[in-house]
Amino acid sequence: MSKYAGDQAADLIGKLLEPSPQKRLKNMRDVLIHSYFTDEVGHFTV
Amino acid sequence: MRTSSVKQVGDTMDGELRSCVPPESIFETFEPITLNKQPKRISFMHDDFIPQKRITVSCDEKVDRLTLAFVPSRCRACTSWDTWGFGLVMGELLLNSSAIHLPNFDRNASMHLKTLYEFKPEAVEVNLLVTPFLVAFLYFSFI
Repeated sequence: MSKYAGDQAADLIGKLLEPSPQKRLKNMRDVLIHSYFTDEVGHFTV
Repeated sequence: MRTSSVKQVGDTMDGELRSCVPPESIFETFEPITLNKQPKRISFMHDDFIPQKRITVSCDEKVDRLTLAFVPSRCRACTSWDTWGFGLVMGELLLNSSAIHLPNFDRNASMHLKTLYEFKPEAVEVNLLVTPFLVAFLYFSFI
């Protein structure tokens, strides 16, 4: 994932698809404050 | 017309097979699953609470254990469905392919065309409350 979409995307997907519900992001509020969405730096490099 | 139902957390799901089920929502049960197998068609019975309704799911492939794990009556409603399903969608979008090797229960294009071909206008439910206003609107629109 990090190879194709960057480290932040890989971190986000990893936290969304965490098998353990205790370690997974709890709700969409937590999802939307993840650095993948809040960082102003572009996620893709050309 | 009933279009959706609200499920409480912990209730068993119903409806069509979905693969966006977090692992903790799938539970093993010792109760036998009613499964009526017909040629190229499988139907899953609802819970006993709604005995009249029966959900049918088209399935061209033979039923395997992975498919049976996603039977709605084995999946409990849970608030984590949102984040888990969002993760699946994000993964698929970013990788441009299915990130997780989950079964795909969505209808393919040929099934949609078959439904469209077999569409019967008389089967459409008409709201009798709206119909007089609709007729009046059409009448005054054309005169």
